[in-house]
Amino acid sequence: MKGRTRRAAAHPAFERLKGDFLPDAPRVAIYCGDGASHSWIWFTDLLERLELFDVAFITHGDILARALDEFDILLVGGGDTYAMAGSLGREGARLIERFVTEGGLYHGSCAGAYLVLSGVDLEPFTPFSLVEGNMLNVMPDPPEPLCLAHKYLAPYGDEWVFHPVYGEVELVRGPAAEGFSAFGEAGALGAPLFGGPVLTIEDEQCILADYAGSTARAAFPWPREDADRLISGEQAVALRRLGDGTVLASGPHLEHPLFPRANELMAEAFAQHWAGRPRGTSQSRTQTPRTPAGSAPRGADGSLLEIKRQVSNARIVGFGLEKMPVTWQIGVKVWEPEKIRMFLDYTWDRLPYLDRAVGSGAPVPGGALEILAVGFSEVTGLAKTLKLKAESGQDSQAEALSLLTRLKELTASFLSLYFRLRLEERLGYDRPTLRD
Amino acid sequence: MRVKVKPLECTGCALCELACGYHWDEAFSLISSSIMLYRAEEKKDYRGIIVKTDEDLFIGRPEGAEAVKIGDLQKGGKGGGASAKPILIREACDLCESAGLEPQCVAVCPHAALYLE
Amino acid sequence: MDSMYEGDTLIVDLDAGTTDQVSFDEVDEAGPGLAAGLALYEKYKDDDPLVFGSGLLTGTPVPGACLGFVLGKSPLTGEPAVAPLSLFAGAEMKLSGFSMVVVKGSSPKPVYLWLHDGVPDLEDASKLTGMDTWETTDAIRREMGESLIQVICAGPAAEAGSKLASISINYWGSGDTAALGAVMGEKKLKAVALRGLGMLDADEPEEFYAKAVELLAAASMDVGFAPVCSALGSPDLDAWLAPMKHRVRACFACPGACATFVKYNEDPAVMESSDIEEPGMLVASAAPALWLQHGGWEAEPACRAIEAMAREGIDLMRGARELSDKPLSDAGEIKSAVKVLEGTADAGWPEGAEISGGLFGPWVPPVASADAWLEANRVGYVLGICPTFLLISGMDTAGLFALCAPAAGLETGPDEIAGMFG
Repeated sequence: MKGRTRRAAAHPAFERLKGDFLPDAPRVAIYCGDGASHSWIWFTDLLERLELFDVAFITHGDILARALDEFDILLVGGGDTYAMAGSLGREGARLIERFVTEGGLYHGSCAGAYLVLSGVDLEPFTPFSLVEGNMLNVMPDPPEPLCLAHKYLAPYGDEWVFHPVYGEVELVRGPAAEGFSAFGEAGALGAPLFGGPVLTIEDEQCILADYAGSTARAAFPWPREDADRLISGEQAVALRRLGDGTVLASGPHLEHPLFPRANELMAEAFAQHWAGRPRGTSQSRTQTPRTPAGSAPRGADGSLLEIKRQVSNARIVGFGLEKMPVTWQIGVKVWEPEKIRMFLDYTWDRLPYLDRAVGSGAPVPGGALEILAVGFSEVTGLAKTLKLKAESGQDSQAEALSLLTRLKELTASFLSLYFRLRLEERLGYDRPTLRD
Repeated sequence: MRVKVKPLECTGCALCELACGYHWDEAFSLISSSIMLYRAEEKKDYRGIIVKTDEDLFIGRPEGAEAVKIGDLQKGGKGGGASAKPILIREACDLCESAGLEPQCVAVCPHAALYLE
Repeated sequence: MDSMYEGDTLIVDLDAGTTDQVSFDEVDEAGPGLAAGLALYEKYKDDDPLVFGSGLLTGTPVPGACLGFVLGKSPLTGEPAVAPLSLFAGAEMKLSGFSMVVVKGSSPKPVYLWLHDGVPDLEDASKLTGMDTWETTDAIRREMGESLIQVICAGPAAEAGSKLASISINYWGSGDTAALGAVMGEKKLKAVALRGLGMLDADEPEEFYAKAVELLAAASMDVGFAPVCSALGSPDLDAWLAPMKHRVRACFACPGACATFVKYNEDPAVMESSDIEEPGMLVASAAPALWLQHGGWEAEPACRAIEAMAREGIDLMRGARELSDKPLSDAGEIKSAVKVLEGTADAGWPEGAEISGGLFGPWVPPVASADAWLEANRVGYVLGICPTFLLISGMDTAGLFALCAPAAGLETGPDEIAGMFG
């Protein structure tokens, strides 16, 4: 693990917070369907740090098929809010609301926060209304940005959602943060704002955190003093009870793995919800019978080596792409080449665990490794084709779309397997610990 | 104040990348620095240095050096979404402030190819 | 003591077409770098091994910490000899994910070894057979999709079984004066390609980094080719090449920058990346140019001859010595003359004292006594520091030895290193 991530993961609060989810751990769903870009992957770091391993990756299709009945927590990260809302539709909105009112926790960062604001009320957003509040960073004719022109705006009817600051901001506690220790002695914490909303929340008892201002570790499409004037004192994170459940809507990405205090804030909100949930409404997997350890399927070692081979090959090609002046516009999003390696690193960093698991006889679902091996081999091929096209100056949009879509799917599949193995280890088999 | 480049002084030794990567990760590598040696055209001996900040890239090419705004793709027009997140992998240069040091790339460069301005 | 070496020892059995990984114990038993390499060579000597490895400090920001090595039985002496892996190849060897690589036996068909992030792949090299080193490097980089892959390759000279065949680092030849390229050719091992996106850890990173930066601050080596030329007793060599000089280039982590890129297919003043894909040659070692200059060659044809030898995978120094008294000027004639060199059977080492039984090559540069050269090579190949840099910069080796403890918990000094060589 890289030094920065390792240091963040060592934040002492995680050790304390793990205990708040024992003995019954929540079942967590991470949304990676239409509209989810890549920041959903950051939720996995936080869940690992809290040792919450009952995790699945779901799409809009899964939600529409009532998958939320199986979960206690739904995490929705950044991306294209229009695509999320469009694909989930009225029925998706209704199912999410029912999920919350019947005792679930919805957390939305960035796009996931815009999605559920009552004040965001153009189609297709009107059915989604879990938080009484609005976004302030919208106007008919925003000024030209000083930088990051490609990330500055998103269309909103006749107006534009704009982003005056892009990077680390400072948050201070709101009235709903009574008893939360994440803000520390300084009374503030840093969190990354990457296009999320500046909120205005009607009920001040629902304000978990306000923006105090920007930091030097940010880019400023607006002059810094103007950006600070806009955000300071406005709301960053909303927390409200809705029926038997909880909604957390955050402009900044509290789940970002390099911001442990922001993680702590999010985790404390989860723990508060979990402690206060009505008993008997969840069916934690810790209650299900343990299945005995079997042996890894034949050929598992070979498939695992093939996965390692192809992820390595793809990372190497991806790294080569990073120094090329190429980006791809997919929908309303601009994707940089570094996203390729970012996805691949999440698999790469967890392969040693899988190796040890397979080596000690963990029951890996039949065929899972072979499917991943084939998938990553495809990814390597796509990456090489993409690179050849980019090098020769040809349009590589189509290849980029294929590659990034496939990478998203494969990463979710891999992480599903990974979390399943960690959960099974947690449930306790008679074999040596597989932990680092 | 930022790190700038005199491209023709650079000999391509990569000490800047090593020092910067160490600053971020307490380990030695060529994958995570804010300053990047571009050396992908070896047969032409064409190489340069790129320094990443939050807002732009300072690109030191042999034919000249300049700051280029990141993603300056749509000058004059509105559009492009904010939903593409900055990357986790390479941090923007913070002049080694988070380590409480003077900028290490400038300190270790043997040929004064990097300077502060 | 394994923190500066991240991986296992890889054993490649070319006869069987298999690879196996074993724990890298030699570093504790024999010492790091070439000491471990020699121990592995001894262990597998009945299988005609080629050992690829790197020094303890290779890959770190210690001045000159670029050095890797290839160790094998020289066809010229029948004794073990090393070739240096410099430029970025030594560092990539360390980062490839394997601490040492032993290649034993011979393959029934042409193969190349692709080592990436701890994954060893033996790839079919039939399409690479007959390619020169430039074509081979380009082909492997294209196939694997990355221009920064380091390719240690054998050229047509090796495939022809020439005693002049030497390994090449990418396009540029190497300091292989022991015909280890011929060993690769015999094994049908066309290339070893390396790439790693890993990280190296020191036991005490803060102390290590602080000491390394101190050494860097104290290290001095005038930029460029000129000081090396002076050290070789030929200060006018630099001026001879000057009309073609484009830029100087350094090996990984080296303040010295003693390689000069010359352009003769394009104006050397052209700085941008033009349409000329192959504008010239990297003169990484002054010695071949020196031979040709003294033989009466003009500078441009001399550089073309060096390029032609690098492409063929011919020992640049011995090849230049063979060509030196036959100055040519026509590019076509130069290529033909270089091709003819491959059949030269009797191109042994120049007269002069052999040192260490020829382990580090036959030739002591005029900059140093034989003893000083021997010590610089021993220290260099164990710690991973370029011996030329050690000698010409006058770097205080006490500072280097002091790095070994925070690097990997190793206390060492000149006597200990001498002891590693028996």
